[in-house]
Parts: sequence; C-alpha cells; structure tokens
Amino acid sequence: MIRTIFEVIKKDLKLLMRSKFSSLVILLTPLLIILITGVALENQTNFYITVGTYSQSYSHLSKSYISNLESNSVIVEYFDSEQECIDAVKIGKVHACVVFSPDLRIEEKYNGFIRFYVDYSHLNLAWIIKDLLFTSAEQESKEISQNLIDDLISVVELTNENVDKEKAELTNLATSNDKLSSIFSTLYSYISVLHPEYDLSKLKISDLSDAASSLKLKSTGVISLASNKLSELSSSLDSLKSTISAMNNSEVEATLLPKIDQMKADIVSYQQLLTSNKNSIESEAGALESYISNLKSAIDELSQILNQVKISQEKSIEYVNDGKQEAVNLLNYIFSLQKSINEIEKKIDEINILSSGKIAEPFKTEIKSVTPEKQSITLLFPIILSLMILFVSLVVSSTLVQMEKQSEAHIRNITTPTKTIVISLGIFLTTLFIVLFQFIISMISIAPLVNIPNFFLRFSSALLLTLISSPVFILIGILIGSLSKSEQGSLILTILVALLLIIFSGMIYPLEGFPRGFQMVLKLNPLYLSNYFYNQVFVKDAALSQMLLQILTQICWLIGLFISLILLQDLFDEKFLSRHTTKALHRPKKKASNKRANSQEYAKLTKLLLELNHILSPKNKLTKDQVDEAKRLYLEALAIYQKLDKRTKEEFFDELNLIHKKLSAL
Amino acid sequence: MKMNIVEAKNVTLAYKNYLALKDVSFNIKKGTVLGILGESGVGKTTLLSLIVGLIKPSSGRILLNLDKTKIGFSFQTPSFFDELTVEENIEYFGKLFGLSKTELARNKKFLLGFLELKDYSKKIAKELSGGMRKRLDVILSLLNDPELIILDEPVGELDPFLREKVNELISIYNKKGATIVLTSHYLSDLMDVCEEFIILKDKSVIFSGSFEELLSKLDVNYKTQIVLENERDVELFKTIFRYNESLSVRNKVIFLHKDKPLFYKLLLHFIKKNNIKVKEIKVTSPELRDLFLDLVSNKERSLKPDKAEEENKSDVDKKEQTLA
Repeated sequence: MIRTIFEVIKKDLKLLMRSKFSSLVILLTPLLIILITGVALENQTNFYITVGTYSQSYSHLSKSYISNLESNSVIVEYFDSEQECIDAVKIGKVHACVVFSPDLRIEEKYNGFIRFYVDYSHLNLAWIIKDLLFTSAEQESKEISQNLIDDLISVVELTNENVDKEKAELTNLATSNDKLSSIFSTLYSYISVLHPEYDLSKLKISDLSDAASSLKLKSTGVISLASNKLSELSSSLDSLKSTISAMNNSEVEATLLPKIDQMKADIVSYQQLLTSNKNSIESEAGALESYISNLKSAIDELSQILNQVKISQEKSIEYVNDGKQEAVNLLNYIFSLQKSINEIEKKIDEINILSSGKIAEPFKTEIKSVTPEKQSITLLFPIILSLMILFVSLVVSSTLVQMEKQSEAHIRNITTPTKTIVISLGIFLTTLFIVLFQFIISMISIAPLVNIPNFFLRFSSALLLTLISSPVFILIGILIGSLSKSEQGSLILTILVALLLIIFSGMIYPLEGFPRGFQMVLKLNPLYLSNYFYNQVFVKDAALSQMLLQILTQICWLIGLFISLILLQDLFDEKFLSRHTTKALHRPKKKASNKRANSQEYAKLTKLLLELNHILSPKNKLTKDQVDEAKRLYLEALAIYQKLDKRTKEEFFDELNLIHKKLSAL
Repeated sequence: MKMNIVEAKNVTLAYKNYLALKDVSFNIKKGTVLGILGESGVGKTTLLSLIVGLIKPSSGRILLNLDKTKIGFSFQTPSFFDELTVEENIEYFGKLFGLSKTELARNKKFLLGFLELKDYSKKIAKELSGGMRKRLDVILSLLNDPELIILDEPVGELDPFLREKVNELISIYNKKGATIVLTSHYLSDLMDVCEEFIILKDKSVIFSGSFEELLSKLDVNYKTQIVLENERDVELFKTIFRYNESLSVRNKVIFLHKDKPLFYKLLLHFIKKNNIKVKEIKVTSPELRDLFLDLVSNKERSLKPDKAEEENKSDVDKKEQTLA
C-alpha cells in the first residue's frame, strides 16, 4: 500500500508540476505573498491616515488638537461643513471626521464638544483611527486636566493652611462656649435662687396706717390733752396768782408771782410747742400717712415689679436654659465642626499625591507589545502563514481530487484493486508535502524581513504545528473535492468554506464580539486554532506545552475528518459512478435528439462514412476509380457535415478527419 | 461447453424519461471475442459500461463470473492522465493494479513495442495524436492481463496498419484465454476478430450469436451488386425483391438474397424488361456490414424468429407492458 501511495503522490506531484499554472502558483504564491507583504511592511509601524476636520471657528484648543494629530503623522484635511466632512468619510476620501464646536474652551460656561465620525466598515482600521483620535484627544485633555488640577491643588493647600489656623480659633470658640455655658449655669443658679415673691400683706401697711392714724390721733389727743391741761394749769396759775395777789403778800407775790408768770409763760410756750408739735405731728402724721400711702403705692408697685420680676425670672430661667442648651448645642456643633475640620485636615493630610501630573494621570498607561517587535510584518506573519496554509491546503487538495475525478482516468482507478481511500491518502500526502514545501519557502523568505528572535528555533515548533493544522484543511479540501460535481463547484465550495473559516476565525472581526456561548464554539474553528498557534510561536514566543488544549482540539478535528473521509469514501465512489451514469446516459440522449433534429443529414452522413470506411479498408487494394469514388464520397460527406449543428459535427469530426488523412495519404 | 463469463438478464437502464437500454439479455462465453454492433447512440457504450460495472442497471441484473479487478477496458474517451507521460501512465496504473515490477516491465515492454509506442514512451499523453492516445488506452486496458477485455472502438482513430495490430493483439489476448467484448465501426475488422455478435437496435438486443446464425436468421446467402450505367435507373429497382436502399449508393444497387438461380432469373428478366443498361454484376458472399446495414437501416427487415424466441415472445410482450 505504501508503494501505491508513493505512486499516487508521485503522480499527483507530476500532474501539478506539469501544469505550468499550478506549479507557478505552488512555487511562487508563498514567495510572492511574503515578499510583497515583507517589502511593503518592513519597518512600517504607522498607518497613513487622513482625517477630515470641520469647525465654525477653531479655538485654541481645537487647533492644538489638530496639531497634535499632525504630529502623529495624520494628514488633516479641512472641510467647509460638517456634512461635507461626513460625506468624505463615506466615500473614503478621509478615514475619519473630527468636528469641533466653536466654543471648545476649558471655561465652565462653554459646553464645547469634539465629535468623531468614524467609518466602521473598515473594521480593523476603525480601531486604529479611533485609537489615534482618542489618544490625541486624551493627550490634549490630560494637559488641560493637569492645569486644572494644579489650580485645584493650590486651593486645597490654601484651605489646609486656613483650616490649621481656624482650628485654634475653634478651640477658643469651644472654650468661650464652655465659659458661656458656665455663665449660664451660674446665672441660672443665681436666678433660680431668687424668689421674687413676697406677701406684702405681711407688711401690714394698713396697720401702719392705722397705727399712724392712731398715733396721730393719740398724739394730737395727748397734745390736746396736754394743751388743755396746760390751759387748766395756766388757769390754775391765774387763780393762784389771783390768790397770791389776793394775799397781798408782796413778797410772796414778788417771789411767786414772777414764777407763776414764768410758769405761765412756759405753759404758753409749752402750749405753743404742743401746738407746734401737734401741727408738726399732724403734719408728720400727714406726711407719714402720705408716706404710708406712698409706701403702699410703692409696695403695690413693688408687688407689680415683683410679679414682673418673677415673670422675668421665669423667662430668664427659660432663656438661660435655652441659652444653656444652645451652648451645649453650640459646643456639639463646635465639636462636630472640629471633628469635620479634623477629618478634612486628616484627609488633606492623607493626600500624599499633590503633583497635578500624578493626579491627572494617576498611573502611566503604556501599551507595550508582549514582544519587542512593532513591525507590522511580524504581527501579520501568523495571519499570512495561517491563510496561506489554509488556502494551499484547501485549494490543492480539492483541486487534486477534482483533477482525479474529472479525469477519465479515475474510472480506471475505481476498477483497479487499489481502494479509493489509498488515492485519497496519496492526495493528502501530496498536498501536505506541498504545504510543507511552501511553509519552508515562506519561512526562509520571511526570515530576513522580520526581527523575531530565535527565528529558526521557533521554526521547529511552527513546523510541528503546521503538521497538525494543515492536515485538517487538507482533509476538508478532500471532502469538498469529493462532494463537488465539477471543478467550478469545488472551487466555489472551497472559497465558501475558506470564507466561513476566515470570518469566524477572529482575523476580520474579533471573536470577543460574538455572544459568549458562540465564542466557545468559534474557538474550535481550525483556522482560529492555526492562527493561534503561529501567533503563540512567532509573536508570543510560547512553548508548545502552553497550547496543549488547542493542539488536542486540532488533533480531534484531524481524527474526526479522517474517520469521516474513510466512512464517506464508498459513498463518494457511488456518487461518482452515479454521476458517470448520468453523464453516460445524457450523452446518447443528446445525440439522439441531435440525430432527430438532423435525421436526414445524419443518416446520409453515416451511410457515406460507412461506405468510405469500406472503400478505405486496409484489405482493399484501391484502384484509381476507387480513390476517385472515395474522394467524391468524401466531398459529399463534407457538404452534409457542414449543414450539421455543432454538437453533431463534433460527433463526426474525428471520423471524417481520419478519412481526410487517409485520402490525403493516397 | 464454455462457461458464461457475463450473464445479462432483462437489463433495462432508464434515467428520468430517457430509456437507454430496454430489456437486454445476453450471455458472453468465456474466451469468446464478441462484437457489439449498433447505430451510434443505440447504447453500445452504455452496455459496455454496464458490463464493467460503471453503470448500474435500473432493472435486471448483470452477473460477472470473475473478479471485477480482472477487467480491462478502453472506452471511446481514453482513461489516463494527460499530464503524465506514456510510461508514467503505464507504471502508475500498473502499480495500482498491483503488478510486480517484473510483470509490469514485461507487459510494458511487450505492449509498447507491439503497438509501436515505445518511441513515444517519454511523451506527455496530452501531446499524443488521437491514434496514439487510443493505443495508450488499449495498452492500459491490457496491462493487468485481464480476463475480460472491454474495447469500445479500439481502432477508431488508427491507421489500417495499426488497426491490424490491434486486431492481432485482440487475438493474442484471446488466445491467452481472455474474453473480449468490442465495438467498432469497422465491421470488416469485427468480422475478422469476432466469433460472436450482439446487434442492438432501438435500445434492445435484436441479435446475439455467430455470423452464420445471423445469415441463417436473415435468410441470406448471397450479395449481388449491380453497377448501372444510368443512375436514375436505380429507382426502378426499388420495386423488386429485397432491395436495400441503405446498401445502395449512387449507381450501385445491392441485393441480399438466398437463392441464386431464382433471383437471377427474376433479375435478368427485370433488366431486360426495363431495358436497363448494366455495367457490371458482381456476386459475392454477404459481409457483416451488409447484413448489419440491412438489418439496422431497413425498418421492414426482421429476423427469422427462433422457436424459443417465438415461445418467449408473448412473455417479452408482457414484460414490455409491465415496463410501460
């Protein structure tokens, strides 16, 4: 069997190499792809992007943004209106459009904006453009933000200083409040001990008044009594004096009478004094009464005052209590304020990053490649390699199957003892050989163009992974070739399958964009796996052990497809024979219909050809007449032949041509 | 008694509305050289494809009493790889047939030499002329010393010399024990190499047997060719006994007949009566071509039925009705 497989491989390679186009494709495709992409992308890290821009008036900020873009090798094109700018994106004149509002300023009163229009139909480029535009915007915004933060920080620092200062004042305030509170307490103690209640009846002002009246009355009575007594005394004296005078004792008279007179004068003076005292007492009593009356009024007033005092005391106590409470509240507020200030101070103290740059950009965002490379060719290499292996595997294997099937020789294959699976195995190995050949060419040709360290060390890993991935595509190609009726059908199906594999490989649209469940399925895509392998090996320098799961998945594909091929082989043979039957049966049908259409000519021509063949039979030694006759019949046949339709002509051509040759030889 | 290597019983092949073969039955005896005759499109190639097993019958069956891999075939369209050289094709198929190096070398040497392709062995097949291609295809069909050789128009594009060579080759392989089934437009060649014939008409086998059996069935012993001086006199002959228009060309009138004296008596009488000027009268034995043309192109022509056929006729009618 190995000998037969080897023969099939030899034959397939010969078939491919002898078809100039195929050999050219096999040899040159990888070289061409690698050379073109290599030369085009060598050392190339930037993309040539044109960005359209529009603004009613460009502010300093927008101009700064534009110059930032220009410094990033972006070609900026100015438009007269937003719509023109958008249209330019639509028709692909520019890759993106940036619209600045005329009031694009930092100040708060302005509500400026930057509007981006990106053409997402250029899926891969869209992200690059978006990244570029946003990076520029981010850069610009970061600078502004840094300035604003600088201002903000200086304010915070000032606030911190003030808080420090005010913290002492707050302590004073608390102390004052403490004092105030104690004052209120003292005041309360003072006020609370006051009893502005007095029973004024206890003063017995009416008794005093009564006493004063009684005193006045009694005094005036006494005085009147005394005065009366004095008057009586005076009268008595007068009587005495008369008596003494009547005694005519001069001596007595002289001695007594002056004394009596004196006494009488004294009495008079006493009387006067009494009167004066009485008056005085009356006046004093009046005054006392008036005083008492005043005192009463005063006590009444005092009583009112006391009432008012009491009310005031009560109010005062209330206020003092309120004041005390307020003082407590105030103290609480002060404490709270103190706490808040302490916290603010603590927080401010805790702000150990006071550099605006640090705040505007707390951490440095740096996007670095996992490999030191930045060359596009290096990053594209896994994709190019995956696609090349996909297409070569699919196209060569399906083409070889079709070449085999479309060739009439396949009928002979089927009737030989060699089973069709052996031929399929031969095709499989031929294609694998070609893929490996192309792989090696690609590796050799790409080596000087990429800057991949240990390039040839990675080669062995890549070769092994190619030996796992490529067979999967080859088997798919063989199945496609076996299923297709024609070469065109096979090519279309190959393109379709390749397209599906590419679309769902993450090369065009990231798999992460699909629903999670779907993603899991798509990650089983053999092309995804193939691309993953090369990416891991050439870009990420990963070891084979790190992709064991993926390798196993690809091997599962390989086994599954191989089993399918073995199981379907008989079916393919049956299908081939069934198609052969259809072809074989259609052929005579057409002939028959043609024959019907040209029945007369057909019959005549058949007859003439039979006659000609008979004459020109090698057994006959031709006479001149026979040769002339044959020529005449040939011309007659030719005339009929020219009247036939194309298909019928094809049917007769070979025979007529042979006769022509024979006649020419004669 | 030779055993049958192929037995076809009531084989019908239909595809959609198209009937390719209708209730075909025949046997091919081992070691026979069998020629299949019929008009173009009557189903000769289809019948050969059925024997090889490339087509499956719609109904009926074909029994092959041999290993399928011991069949060699060459159809009208050559079956080899155009991009390979003659030698490469031979070696490739030789290995696919599982021939040993010695067998392959021996057969290659013999066949290339015999069919004079040795000088072209390094030539790419697609660059070969039609005749060479045909020869290569015949070589491939004989490469594995097959027991049954199917040859569809093997001499179609060959010059007379090579036609002879192919016929000789057929005889050689037949002598080696191979059964050979072939079709050819060169009926004289068929006559030379074939022992038995199958004649197809209207998608059915109308005759199966030897040439003698055919003569007997057509009830013909002689072929008389009359060359007239005046071509328009040909029309007069249409009225007489068994005139075959398809055999007659221009001023030649050909008759197939059984009895010599009676026929000539009638013929001479006719010529005399109509005052027909005759250039030449030639009497020969009928060839296969004459019988074939007579049988195939003459609608009124019918074979003398066998007793067995007569018995079976009602059965066949019934079967046809069933198929219809």
